[in-house]
Amino acid sequence: MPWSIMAASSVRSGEPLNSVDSPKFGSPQLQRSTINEIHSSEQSGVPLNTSWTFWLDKSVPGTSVAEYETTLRKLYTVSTVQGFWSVYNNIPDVSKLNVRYTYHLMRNELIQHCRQHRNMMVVREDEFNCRGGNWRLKCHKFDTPVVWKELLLAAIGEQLTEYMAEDDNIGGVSVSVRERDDIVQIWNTRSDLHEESNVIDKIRELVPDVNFTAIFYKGITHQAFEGKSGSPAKR
Amino acid sequence: MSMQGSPQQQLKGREIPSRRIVLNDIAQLPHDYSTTPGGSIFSTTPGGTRIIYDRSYLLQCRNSPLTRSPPPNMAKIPGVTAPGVVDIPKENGIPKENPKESSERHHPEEQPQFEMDI
Repeated sequence: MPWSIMAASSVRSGEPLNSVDSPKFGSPQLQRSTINEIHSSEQSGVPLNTSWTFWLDKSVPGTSVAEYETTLRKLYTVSTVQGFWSVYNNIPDVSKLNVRYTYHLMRNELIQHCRQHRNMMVVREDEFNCRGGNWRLKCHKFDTPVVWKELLLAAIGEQLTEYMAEDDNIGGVSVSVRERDDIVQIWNTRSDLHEESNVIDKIRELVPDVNFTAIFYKGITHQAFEGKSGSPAKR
Repeated sequence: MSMQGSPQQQLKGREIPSRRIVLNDIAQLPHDYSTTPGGSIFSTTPGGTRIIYDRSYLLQCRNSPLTRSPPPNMAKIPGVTAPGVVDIPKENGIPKENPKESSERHHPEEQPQFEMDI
């Protein structure tokens, strides 16, 4: 599966190249120009508070976690402001994404792996998976690009953190293209603290002209994570 | 700005102690503040360091030469980050959806960054 190799790419990993320069070594070598390039981008970029990873997935109603995972693609991990823009500027605008696709930008320190059950992207190998949740905001398609961009900037600039409870944190943001209204999501790490947050007020302030057609919060329950119940995924 | 009975006081979230000060000279910076290579300033927050950027600074960085091309080792996904047809598995028996293109003209500043080959 070629994409699993792609998935390993990040700011810090270069492309393994033919070890022309030093054929004696068996491990993959980085060409000097590649090293310089990586070095220079790390040097010249402005650091983000944490690194963040762009993901793409496609949700199909009724699919299993395993099937979902085959649609989940890691695009890139960014750790600088310039790195963020170099991805954002060079992937399709959300208005160009096909229906049922989702972009996620997830904070890296919180995420090891993503999986989905009933439209929930959760994190495993971490307590976060049982304790987090997300706000979901539906908006008209003509508003989606602006809402998504403002959410991204607020997230990587850490403008949302101060609107969360003290022990809560932003885990990521997502945008899902749907047949009618699109859905943006703001992930937090502590569903039990979400009522103390006024992040929704902040989002309304970011995009005062946008009319969200629905706003609700959904915690990720352990049962949903395990996916034991037999009821079909309802979307 | 009135201090009494302002809406801020009704909010439940706990504020992070911070203050905004205007500096007239770089020499006025406290010694524990740092500058980033791009020239912005970030400061330490209680309980740890958090790097904060405002929207306008982030937007200024958007047109940096570094951001004009994708990272060289970004995942190449046909139809998304590379030319071609999206190769994520499709549902059986369901015709391929057409992309919705109607939404962009409402936001003239949001020029498409990438043309998909569908």
